[in-house]
Amino acid sequence: MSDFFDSLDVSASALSAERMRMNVTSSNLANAQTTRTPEGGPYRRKDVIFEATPTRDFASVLSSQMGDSPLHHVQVTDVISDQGAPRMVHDPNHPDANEEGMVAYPNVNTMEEMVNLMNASRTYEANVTAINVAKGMMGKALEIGRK
Amino acid sequence: MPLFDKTIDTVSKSLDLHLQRHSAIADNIANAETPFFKAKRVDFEAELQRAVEESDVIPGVNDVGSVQARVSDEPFSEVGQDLNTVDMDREMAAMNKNDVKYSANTQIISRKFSLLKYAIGEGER
Repeated sequence: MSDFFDSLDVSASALSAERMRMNVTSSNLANAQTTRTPEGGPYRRKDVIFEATPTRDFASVLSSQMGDSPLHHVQVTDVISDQGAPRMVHDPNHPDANEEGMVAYPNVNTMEEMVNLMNASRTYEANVTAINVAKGMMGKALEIGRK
Repeated sequence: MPLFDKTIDTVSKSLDLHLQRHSAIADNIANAETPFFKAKRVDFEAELQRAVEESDVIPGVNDVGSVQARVSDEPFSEVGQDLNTVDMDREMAAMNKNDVKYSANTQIISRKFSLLKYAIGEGER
């Protein structure tokens, strides 16, 4: 039998995963014009990889053995660099221009990042709502039998 | 007739199952952006109803307390490009519906207890 705190844990894991995605997206937006990085070359767009991992604590392993379907925490398993080609802009006066006068700018599409940001924010809100509903249910359960 | 009758058993089982459904919905919402995740649905109304009816006919045969929810993959969701079947609108609606039902159940069980209290106190408020 699942308890209240399981659903809270799952929603909380999603909150932290979405926050991570928001951080990565912000980093992409902030570095949309960055031409120098410690690794050399322009900044490369980052993306997060989400993975559904079954909860592994004792109670949930036991209940999944007893036939209950296990709940899934969301985990950011990896932050990958987008290996797409950089955006080439003709600007011979730029210090990072190559012999042909082309400057490699990051492969960041601002519109795409904004959509990602909105998506992350909406999903975050949805999970907050799920937490609030669970809290409301807990409150109602505590009121049983109270005059 | 026992002091704590079938109503209390049935409603508390119903509370348990609604909680289980909430966990499943929270799971779906949490994994709304996870590739390959399959949305789950928890059904138990028919099973609970049957258990209540059958325990009326032969007491103790199909115990209300032993009702198990059916957990299945959400059948109506569309599959997105990342093979994720979570439909956020459907999940939010289901979650609110489940919440209201849960509240209704807590109300019922509270009323039941106040009725018992009323009887125990010989009708004194």
